[in-house]
Amino acid sequence: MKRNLRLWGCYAFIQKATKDFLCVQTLAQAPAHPGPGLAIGVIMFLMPLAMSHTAHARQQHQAADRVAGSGDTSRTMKDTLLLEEVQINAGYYTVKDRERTGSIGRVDGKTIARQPVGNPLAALHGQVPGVEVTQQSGVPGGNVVLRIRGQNSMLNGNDPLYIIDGVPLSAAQNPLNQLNNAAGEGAISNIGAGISPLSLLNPADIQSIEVLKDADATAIYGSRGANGVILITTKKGVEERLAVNAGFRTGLSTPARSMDMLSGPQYLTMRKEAFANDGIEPSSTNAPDLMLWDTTRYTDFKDLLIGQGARYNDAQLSISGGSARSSYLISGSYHDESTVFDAEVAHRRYGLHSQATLRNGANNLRVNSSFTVSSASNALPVRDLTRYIKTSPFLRLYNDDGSLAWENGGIPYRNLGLQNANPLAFRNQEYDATQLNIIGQNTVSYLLTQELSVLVNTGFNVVRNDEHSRNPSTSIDAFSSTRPSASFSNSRTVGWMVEPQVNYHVQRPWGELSALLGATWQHQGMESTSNNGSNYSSDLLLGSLSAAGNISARNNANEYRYQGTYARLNVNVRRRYIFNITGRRDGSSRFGPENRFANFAAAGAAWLISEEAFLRQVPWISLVKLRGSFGVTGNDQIGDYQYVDRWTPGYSSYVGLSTLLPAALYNPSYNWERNRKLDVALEGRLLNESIGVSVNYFRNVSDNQLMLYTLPIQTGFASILRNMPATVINKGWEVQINYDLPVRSGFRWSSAVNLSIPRNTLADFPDQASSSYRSRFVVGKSLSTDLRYRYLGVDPGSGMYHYVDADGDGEYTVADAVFPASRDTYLFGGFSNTVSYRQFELGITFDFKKQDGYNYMYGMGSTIPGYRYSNQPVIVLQRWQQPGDIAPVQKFTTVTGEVYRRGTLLNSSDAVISDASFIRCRNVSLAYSFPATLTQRAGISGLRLMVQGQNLFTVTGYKGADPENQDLYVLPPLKTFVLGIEITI
Amino acid sequence: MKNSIKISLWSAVSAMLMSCESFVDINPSPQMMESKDVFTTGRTAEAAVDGVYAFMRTSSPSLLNGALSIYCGLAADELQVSSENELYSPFYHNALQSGNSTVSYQLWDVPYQTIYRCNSILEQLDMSASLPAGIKHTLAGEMKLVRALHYMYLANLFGKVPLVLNTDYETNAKLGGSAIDEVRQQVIRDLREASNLLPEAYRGVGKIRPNKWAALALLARAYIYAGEYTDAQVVASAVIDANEYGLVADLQDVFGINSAETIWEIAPPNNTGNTAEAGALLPPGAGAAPAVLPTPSLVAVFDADDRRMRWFSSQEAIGQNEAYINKYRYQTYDATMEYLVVCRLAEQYLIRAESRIQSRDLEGARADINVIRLRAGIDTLTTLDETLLMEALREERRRELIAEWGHRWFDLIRWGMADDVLGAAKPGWKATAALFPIPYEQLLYNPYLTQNAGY
Repeated sequence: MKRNLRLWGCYAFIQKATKDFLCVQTLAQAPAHPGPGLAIGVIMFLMPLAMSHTAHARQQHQAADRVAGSGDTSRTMKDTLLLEEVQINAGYYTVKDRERTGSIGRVDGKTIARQPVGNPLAALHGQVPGVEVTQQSGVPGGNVVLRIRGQNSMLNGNDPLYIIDGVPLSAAQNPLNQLNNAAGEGAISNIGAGISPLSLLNPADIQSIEVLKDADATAIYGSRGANGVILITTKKGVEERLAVNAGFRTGLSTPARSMDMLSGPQYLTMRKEAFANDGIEPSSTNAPDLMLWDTTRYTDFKDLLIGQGARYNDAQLSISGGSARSSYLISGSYHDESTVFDAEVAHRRYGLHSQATLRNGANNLRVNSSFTVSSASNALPVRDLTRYIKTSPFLRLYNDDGSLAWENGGIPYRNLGLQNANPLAFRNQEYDATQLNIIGQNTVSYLLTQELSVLVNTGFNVVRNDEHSRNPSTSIDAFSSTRPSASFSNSRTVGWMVEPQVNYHVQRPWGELSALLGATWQHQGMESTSNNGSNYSSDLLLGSLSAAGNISARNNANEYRYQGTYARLNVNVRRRYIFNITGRRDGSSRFGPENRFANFAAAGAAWLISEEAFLRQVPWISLVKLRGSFGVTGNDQIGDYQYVDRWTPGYSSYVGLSTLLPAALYNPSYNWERNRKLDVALEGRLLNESIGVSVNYFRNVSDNQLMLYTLPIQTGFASILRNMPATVINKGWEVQINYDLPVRSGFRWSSAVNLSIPRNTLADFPDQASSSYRSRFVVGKSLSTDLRYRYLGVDPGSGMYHYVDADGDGEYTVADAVFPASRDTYLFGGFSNTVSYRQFELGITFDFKKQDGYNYMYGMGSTIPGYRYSNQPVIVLQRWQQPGDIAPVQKFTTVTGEVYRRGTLLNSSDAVISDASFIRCRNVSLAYSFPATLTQRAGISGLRLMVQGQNLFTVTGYKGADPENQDLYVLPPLKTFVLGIEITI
Repeated sequence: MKNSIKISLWSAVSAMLMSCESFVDINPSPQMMESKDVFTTGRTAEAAVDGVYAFMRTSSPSLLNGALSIYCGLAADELQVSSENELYSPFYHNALQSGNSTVSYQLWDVPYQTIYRCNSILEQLDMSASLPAGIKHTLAGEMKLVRALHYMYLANLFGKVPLVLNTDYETNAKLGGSAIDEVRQQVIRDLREASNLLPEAYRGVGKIRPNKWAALALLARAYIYAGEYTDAQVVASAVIDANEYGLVADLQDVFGINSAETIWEIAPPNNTGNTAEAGALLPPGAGAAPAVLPTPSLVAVFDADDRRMRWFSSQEAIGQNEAYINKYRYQTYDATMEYLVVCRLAEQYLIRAESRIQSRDLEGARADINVIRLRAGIDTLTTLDETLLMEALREERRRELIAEWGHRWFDLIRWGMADDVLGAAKPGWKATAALFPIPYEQLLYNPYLTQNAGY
C-alpha cells in the first residue's frame, strides 16, 4: 500500500512535469525565458528529498553499495569483463559474449552518464575500437559524425544505421532543421551539418550502446548494414523493489581551443605594411579602414562573439521497481545549455521515458514495452558567430544613438564588399525551434513449446520540428532595401514498423541449435512546409505570417518503404565450435521497379580454443577464442524518388503564374551498392579474468558504389546519382586490452585501452583520367587524398609562396596540381581508467588520434592577409618582410595581383594539410559517495557528489584552432566543467 | 499435436514472407510531376518555360540578370568602384583570377543551368504528341532564343565554351570548348529559327516573353558580334520597320514596364524587386555613395544639354564623385517599377547605323544616328565622312547604352580598340584580360576544357 502511494506521488509529479514542459514549449516561442525550465530542474531535484520520508521505512533494504548511477542498474565496467554472463544485444537476437561470432562493441550507460554531453554520440569518443567520432561544431544540438571502420562510400552515405530499442530512428542522417541556424555551419568537411536528431535523446536514459561492425553482426540488417549499426538500448526496470534516483548537474562551458586574432595595433601594422609592399598609398577609396575609421578603436571580436561562458544544467529523476512478474521504469529529464555566443538559453530538452516488462505466471508470455518522449527547444543565432571573429578590430559597431552602425566615414560597409558586416546584427536575428521526438516500441513474445517461440516487435517514431526565424529591422543593414522578414517552417516524420519473428532453439548432447526467421515492414513518411514572409512593415508583426508583404511558400512530402525477410541459423557444437549464418532479402522504395530487391548474407564461426583439452588445464587461461566472418551488406542512403524523371514546382512564380523546374538529371538504372566484409579476431582472457585481450583484423571491400557523381556544370546539374565502378577497401587492426586490478583493501583499479589502425584505399577506379575525379581521388591512396600543388614555403627572395612547377612551363596551372596529399586518420583510440578507494571514485578518459588535417593556412587561402578588411590570426605576424627572411607566411598584399594569387593557391596545395594529431583528456569525473551509515541517518540510501569535466585539455602540436573540427571559423567543441549531486532512495 | 503447431506456424510464416512485394510501391510525392506529364498540356508546358524566366532572374546579378551591365562596365571604361571591395575590384582592375567565385557561379554555373532547362524543354516539346502545334512552336521558339542569348554572351565573355545542345550528360560532361565562330553560328541559327517559330504577338500579358521581334532584335545583335553587317542591317530594319515600337521621348521612362521602346522585358521572380543594375548603381541610403559609380571619362562624353544627363544624378554628400547612374531608377522591394530590359528599339537604330556605315550607306547611317541624337536633344550630324560617322556612332553607342548589357566592353573588343582605350585608361591592363577566366573548378571536373591565356 505504502509503495503504491509513493508510486502515485511519482506519477503525479511526472504528470505535473509533463504539463509544465508542455507550457514551456509554447513559452519558448517567445524570447528565451529561463525561468520555468530551471524551476523544473529544481523541482526535480527537490522532489526526491520530499519523498525521502515516505521511503524511510524501506531504506534498510537498499544495498549500501548500490552505485547511484542515475538509476543505472546495469552492468558496470567490471561486469563486462565477466564475459560469460554478459548478453550482447545483436539487434534481432542476443548472444553470450563468450559465444559470439561477430564483431560487436559495447559502451555501457555508466560511461555515457558520467560525460556532460548533449548528444549521446559525443560520449563515444575513444570508447569502441573501430569507431571514429568527430564533433563538427560546439553549437548545442550540433552534429557528431560517426564512422564505423572507415569511409566505405567515396562521397555520400557513410552514416551507420541507428536503432533505438529496435526502432530505426527516422531520418537519423538528416539534420532536423529546414531553416538556417548556427548548428548548420559545419566545419570544412561539412558533413551532415545541422541539428542532429540524436540530440533529442537523453544520454542518461541509455542503458547501453552496441556497435555492430562486421558482416556477421550486420548482414541481418541487410541493405542498411554496410556502414555498421548502432543499437541504442534504453534503461529497463530490473529490481523488485521501488527505487527512486535523482541527479542534478550544473556547470559552464567555453571553447576548447581557438586562435587569437590580431589586436588593433597589429592589424594596423599588417594593413600598412600590405600597402607599402604594393607601393600603393592608402586612400579613403582603397583603405577606408585606415583613413576614415578610428584606428585607435579595438574590439576583441573573439571575446565579444564567442567569449561567453555557456551554462549547462541537467536534471534527472527516475523511478524503477517491479514484482516477480513485472518491472517498470519511469524517468524524467531536463537539460539545458546556453551558447558561448550569448548568455540566453539556447538548447533545452525535456524527456520522459517509461518502460515496462510483464510476464505471465507460466512464464511463456512476455511483453516488453517502452515509450520515450522528448521535446527540445533551440534558440540559436542564425549564423555561427565564430565566422565573424575575423571582423576588422576597427569596425564601428554602434552609431552615436546606440543603434547598430552600418557605415563609417560616410562609406556603407556593404560598399566594401562586407556582407553582414556588423556581427552584432546576428544577436538581433532570432531563430527558435521546437522539436518533439516520440519513440514507442512493443514486443510480445510467446513460448509455444520449450523449443519454439514467436515474437512480434512493433514500433513507431514521430519526429516533429517547428521553426521560426525572424530578421527584424534592427538586424538588417540600414543601407539595404531589404525589409524585415520571417520564416516559418515545420516538418513531421512518422515511421512505423512491424517485425514478426519465429525462434527455434534446441539443446542436444552434442550442443545447441538456434534458428530465427523474421520479416520486417517499415514505412516512413515525411511532410514539411516552409513559408517565408518578407516586406514586413513592422518588427512587431514578425510572428504573423499574414502580416508579410510577400509570402513565398513551399511544402514537401515523401514516402519511404522498406521490407525485408531475414533468417539466422546458429549451431554450437560442444560449446567449442560455433557457426552462425545470417541472411536477408530486402526491398526498398528508393530503387526503380527493376532494381528494388536484393539479397545479403553472412557466415561467421568461432572456435573456443580454451575448451580444447590441451588448454583446459592451464590455470591462468580462462578463454582463448578465434572467430571470423565473411558476408555482404548494402547501402540505400539516397533520396526518395530519385529514379523518376521529374519536374518540381518552382519556388518562385512568374508574374503570378506557377512555374516548373527540372528536379535532377535522370538516371533510372542505378542499383544497390554492395559491401563485402571480412573479419578475424583472437580473444583471450587471462589470470582469472583480470586481463582481457582482443585483437581484430578486418577488411571491407565496397564496390558498385552508389553516389552523387560530380559533373561539370555544363551538363546542367552539378551531380548525378549513379553507380560507380570504383572499389574502396577499408582494412585495419583493432586491439583492446582490459585490466582489472584485484580489489585490495578498498582500492580498486580498472583500466581499458583500445587502439585502431585503419587503412583506407581506393583500390580501383576505371577511366578516372577522363572523369570529373581525375584530381579528386588517387588510386592506391585513401579517399581523403586529392591532387594538389606541392608547397615549397615562402621564397626568401620574392617573399611569395612558391610551389613546384611540375610541367616546367613557368606558370602555376591545373597541370601543376599533381601531388597527392591525404587527410587520413592513421591511428586512434582511447584510454580509460577508473580508480576507486573507499568512498571516492575517479574516472579519467583520454582519446587520441594520429591524423593529418586542415591547418590554419586553410583560412588564409580564402582570406588573404593584408587584403581588404579582414582580421587574421596572430600567427600571420611571422610574415616575410625583406629579402632573405625565412618565414611561414608570405608578404602582405592589398591587390589581386601575383601575391594574392599565390595566396589563393594555398587551398589547392598541400600547405593547408599538416599533422593534426592530438591526445584529448575527454573526461575526468570524480565522485564521492557518502558512507551508508551517514545517508541512512538522513533517510536515504545513497548520496553522491561529483565533479565532471569534458574536453578538459588537449595535447597537440596542431597548427590551428581545434584539431577535431579543424576550422578556425567554426565553433570548436566546448570544454565543460560541471558539479553534480545524486540521491538514491 | 506439437508437430502440427510447428508445421502450420512455419507455413504461415513462409506465406507471409513471400507475399506482398508490392509493399515497397510508394505514392508519388506531391512535389513532383513526371516529365511526360508536364508536356501533355499547354498550361504545364508554359509553366516549365516560365520557370526558365523566373530562374534567369533568381540569382542576382547573374549573367543575363545585370551582371553584364555591372561587371563588364567595370571591366571597361564605364564604371568604377567607390571603395575597393572584394566583389567589384577584381573586375574593375581587370585582375580576375580563375578561382573567382562570382565568375564561377554567376557567369558560368547559372547560365549552364538555364541552358539545360532550355535543352530539356526543347527535347520534351519535340517528343510531345499531344501539345497543339501553335503553343509547341511558340515555346520552342522562346527556348531557342533564350539558349542563343546565353551562348551569345558566354562566347563574348569566355571565348571557347562548350556548346551543349541536348541533355545527354554522359557526352556533355566531356565536351571541350567550341570555337567562337561555331558558337556564334549556333546562336544565329537558333535566333533565326526562333524568329520563324515565334508569333508577332507576345504570349501572355505585357512584353515579358519574347516574340518574333525580340528574336530579330537579338539576331541583329548577334550579327554585329559575328561581324555580319549585311544581315544585321536587314534584320534591324525589319524590327524598326515593324512599327511596333517607338522611342520614348522622356528618357526617364525608357525602362518603365511596358514602355513603348522595349522589345523584351523579364519580370522578377514573384514580381518583387527591381533590377540588379539599380541595386549596384543607386545609393544604398541617404548620404552614402553607391558601390559602383560612373568613371569621370564617361560623364565627360555627354554634352551639358544632352537629355541623357537625366540618366545621371548628383548627390552633394557623395564627395569626390559627383554623379551616380540613375538610368535604372528603382531599387525598392516595395513595388516593382522596372523589369529587366533585354532589348529596346534605340539599339536597333544604332545597329543599323553601324551596318550601314559598313555597307557605305552613309546617309542612311547618319539618319539613324540622328534619330538617337534628336531624342537626346543634341545637335544632329551633318557630315557624311565615313571615319567621322564611325566615330560618332561609337560615341553614340557609348552614351546611349551606358551600363546596359556590357555593350561598351564588347564594343571595344569587337572594334579592336580594347588595348588602346583600356591600356590608356587602366594601369594594370593586359590584352589577355579581354576574355574572362574559365572557372578553376570546371577545369578540374572536365579535362577537355582549356583555360584562356593569361590565367
